[in-house]
Amino acid sequence: MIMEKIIDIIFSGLSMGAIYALVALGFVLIFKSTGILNFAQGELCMVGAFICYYFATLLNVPYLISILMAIALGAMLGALIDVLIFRRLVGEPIYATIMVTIGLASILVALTGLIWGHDTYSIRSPFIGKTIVAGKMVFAQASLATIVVSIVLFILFIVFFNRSLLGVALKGTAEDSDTAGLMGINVKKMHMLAWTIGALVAGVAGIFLAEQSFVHTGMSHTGIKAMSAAILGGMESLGGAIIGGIIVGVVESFAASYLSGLEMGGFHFGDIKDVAAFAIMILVLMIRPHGIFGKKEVERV
Amino acid sequence: MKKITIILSLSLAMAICLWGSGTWAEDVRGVTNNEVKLACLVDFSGPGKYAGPPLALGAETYIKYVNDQGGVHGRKINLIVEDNGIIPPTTLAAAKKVIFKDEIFAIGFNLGSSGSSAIIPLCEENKVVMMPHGANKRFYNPGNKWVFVPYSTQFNMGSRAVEFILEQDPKARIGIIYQDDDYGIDGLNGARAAAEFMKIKLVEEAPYKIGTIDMSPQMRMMKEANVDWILAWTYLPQTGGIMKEKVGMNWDVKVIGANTTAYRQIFPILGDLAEGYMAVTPYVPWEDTPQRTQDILQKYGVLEKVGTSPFPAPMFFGAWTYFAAMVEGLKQAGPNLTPETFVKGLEKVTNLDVGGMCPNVTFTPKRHVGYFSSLVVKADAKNQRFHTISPIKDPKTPQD
Amino acid sequence: MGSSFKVNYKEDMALFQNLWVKTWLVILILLMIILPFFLNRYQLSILNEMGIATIGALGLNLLIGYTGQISLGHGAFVAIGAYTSGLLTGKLGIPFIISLPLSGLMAALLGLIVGIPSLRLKGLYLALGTLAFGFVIEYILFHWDLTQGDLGMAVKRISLGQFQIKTQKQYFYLIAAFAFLAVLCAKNLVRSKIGRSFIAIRDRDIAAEAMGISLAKYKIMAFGLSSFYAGIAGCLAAHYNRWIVPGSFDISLSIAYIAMIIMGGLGTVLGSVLGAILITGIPHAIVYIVDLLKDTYPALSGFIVDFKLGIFGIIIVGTLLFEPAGLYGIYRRTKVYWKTWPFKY
Repeated sequence: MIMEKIIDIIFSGLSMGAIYALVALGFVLIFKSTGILNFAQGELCMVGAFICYYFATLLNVPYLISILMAIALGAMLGALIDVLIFRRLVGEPIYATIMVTIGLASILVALTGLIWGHDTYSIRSPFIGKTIVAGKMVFAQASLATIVVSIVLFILFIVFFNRSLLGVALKGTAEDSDTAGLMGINVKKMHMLAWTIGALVAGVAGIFLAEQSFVHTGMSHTGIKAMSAAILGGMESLGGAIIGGIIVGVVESFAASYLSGLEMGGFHFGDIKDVAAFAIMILVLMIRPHGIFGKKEVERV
Repeated sequence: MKKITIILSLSLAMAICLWGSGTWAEDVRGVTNNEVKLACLVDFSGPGKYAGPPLALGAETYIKYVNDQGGVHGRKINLIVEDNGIIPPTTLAAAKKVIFKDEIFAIGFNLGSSGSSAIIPLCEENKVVMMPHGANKRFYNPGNKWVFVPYSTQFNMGSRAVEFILEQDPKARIGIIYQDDDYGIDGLNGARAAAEFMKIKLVEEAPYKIGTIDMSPQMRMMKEANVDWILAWTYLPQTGGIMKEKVGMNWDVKVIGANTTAYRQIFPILGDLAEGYMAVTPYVPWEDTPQRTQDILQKYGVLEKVGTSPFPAPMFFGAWTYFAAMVEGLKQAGPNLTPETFVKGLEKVTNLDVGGMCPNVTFTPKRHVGYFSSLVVKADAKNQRFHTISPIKDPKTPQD
Repeated sequence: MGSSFKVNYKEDMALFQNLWVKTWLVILILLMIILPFFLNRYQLSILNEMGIATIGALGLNLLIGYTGQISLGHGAFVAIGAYTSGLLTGKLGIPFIISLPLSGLMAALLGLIVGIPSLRLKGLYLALGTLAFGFVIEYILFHWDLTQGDLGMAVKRISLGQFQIKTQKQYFYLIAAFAFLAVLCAKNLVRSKIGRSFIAIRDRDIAAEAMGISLAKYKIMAFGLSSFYAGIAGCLAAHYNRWIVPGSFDISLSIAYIAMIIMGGLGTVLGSVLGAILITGIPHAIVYIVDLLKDTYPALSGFIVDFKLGIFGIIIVGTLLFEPAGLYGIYRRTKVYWKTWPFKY
């Protein structure tokens, strides 16, 4: 019984963790290659989910095509954001870039609200309400699909960054954009690529999130939580982001099962799940400011 | 030295200004011989946005009816509808705007309980009667001179829900999933009070933070406690999450929710998954008594405007009740209308019948909440409507 | 226009550098005293909000604009000030005149604690740490019996002995006085050794340390000062609105404060004031415009939130792309333009 419960908790933690990991991957990718911490990552997630909802539910397009459309349009949005805004901001101080991404987040929410409204919607997906029964355990298909597809994506990414010319070029730009430029890599193009891929994974995460629950503008909150996953992984390594995301998801799941609803001397724990990610973030920053996999930068005057 | 003198003299000047600008007497705000200004604060822009347009329409159509009948004591009602964004900061801004800028006499409707709490001091200060929608026990116990609720509270409905479950199944194991804000906690307290009264225990209580959409941990706790009825003191998206999770877990558990979810909006979100969902609400589903509904709409001359297929949302009727109570209060207050006489007038409202679509509204000087009764409705996913399964009834649990 | 040459340090360091500035100052003070007699309560209530925002924005500008430490949790310190004063006056019956500095100090104390990690954290790590701090504070306020959760708690009126502050006019004088005092203190501070150390840390912290500025001391001091300001702003806001709920102090408040100082101009006192006025004014202006057009286009009010959000976002992005110095930059350019008019340079 207790074993089953723990497997169940881990399973639901993994399905959320996979989503955090995808979003965190986008964070790290964009941060590493362009030096911009994208606070609008959660909003890109939301836009992806809304586009998928638009095609699948409103236009009745087959589900797979809707997903592909959402991913493609989401990626294009990422490229567009880079060309319109962030290309002009390379080398600006951190507060400026952070604030621009926050401003961008409000713009995206406002546009989404204007186009689709602020209500809660549901995506018509073939996985909804379907389960797989294994012995005494019951797994929701939507969650299972999230985990499987995420793993495939992670593997694809690792192969892309280590084996393909483009991936290596992107990695090189991230390491040192000046030298990469001298080596004949088109740095501007690489930045655009980073934004494209970042928005793409965010879109995928958004669709999964919508499949597990619903589509609404508030879902962009996931972005901030995924940030703690990225911090945990060290902001610098893609592998770290993936592991960070999974840790945050599983910890949240355990906290929700064992701590929520407790009361201690006038303090109600309430739903602790939401704050768990931030508690992790503070702890990591206090103990190991550069994350588990990050390395301390040496700075020169 | 010189600087200090300057600063001292400046602060002296400020102090004089402060003393000099005391309160000044003024006419009764928002009332003239032929007009009285009322405000209706609804959400057009926040998380309760879906409720805004039908609420505003309900208020406007009822006020139009009253004005067509000649108004109250020769005064026509001028209704000002304003967006309050449901959350406290925006509600405060909206209330300031209608009180200071539009100079209204009373706020006939305000959506959102924490926003309503936030504007209570402002209303007290300016002697504005305010009717909050989404009410808590706090509004009648201890209560407030300026706050009237022509509605039930979450506490009452929480009690009613538990009693209904025990009527169906005296041995039921009940678990509750609640939003960990005052809306949810008031429902939780009501449910706890009823459970204590009926000498049972709620076997599991699982909170969630407002805005959460992943309900799997809460549902896991329910499953583990092996409950057979889930009380869901949630908003629409979370109810959706619970129903979805329930199917995902292959679990046949009965779910009963709060008045915030007894709306038709649940059907496009959940589709067939909504089948069998129950909710406690003070409003009779309009589809249950189509003839009576049509008669009421006909009587107020809005049948053509709002149509019958489908009937307007229950929120339409919610705002309607509020302004019916307010107009009744204005009538009782007599021609000499001041905030004080208005409060007295409202306290005289007894058994105000709003067409039998919700319990009758009664205020007394001790009790500023209209009624404690509610009914239970059940979702019929195929026809996309709710129907009554337990009629209007007071909870047996003591409510004070 | 007065001489722009300074012949000694005393002149260069003066708070009000010439007669012109002093004249304007007197005019401003007179204006503030007369103003309430010409404005209605609604307009005064907007001015009061702006005054409170000015105090908070000044604090944040000391931290971000002068010291270069990014904080995304300023709203949490405002909340701490508000709740401290609310609890002290409500539960313990302490008069406002004592609870006001105490609420500032309480916020400052927590600011010092949050400031300690800032010795190790830089740039975005600090930003994220303070962001998380803000969420944790909101969570605590929401779930602690003492703070009464999300229905919030009532706060007493400001009273000095028998005298109570009641009307918007009285609040205006009080808040304007505090805002004025806050501006003076900030102006004084930034021209002192402390202010120059802040700027040195912002510009190059390692170099600053090499020059003998104690990084630890001044970074923590910046956090403390900034939170003190925030606490005072929170205390005033609590007593002004007389009801506090955790929802008023969430991440969006922190973001609004950052927007104020960026819009106004980072690292300038005047900029904080201008930014506070602008960002507080925008939502009111939008409501005003919607109100005007409501009768002709009834559907408009349904889009208020999108307009507010969208305009907010566009302004931030636009400012940072095209006018990074903010309103202060525009002000200075206009000033130079008129000074040298009709010559271009």
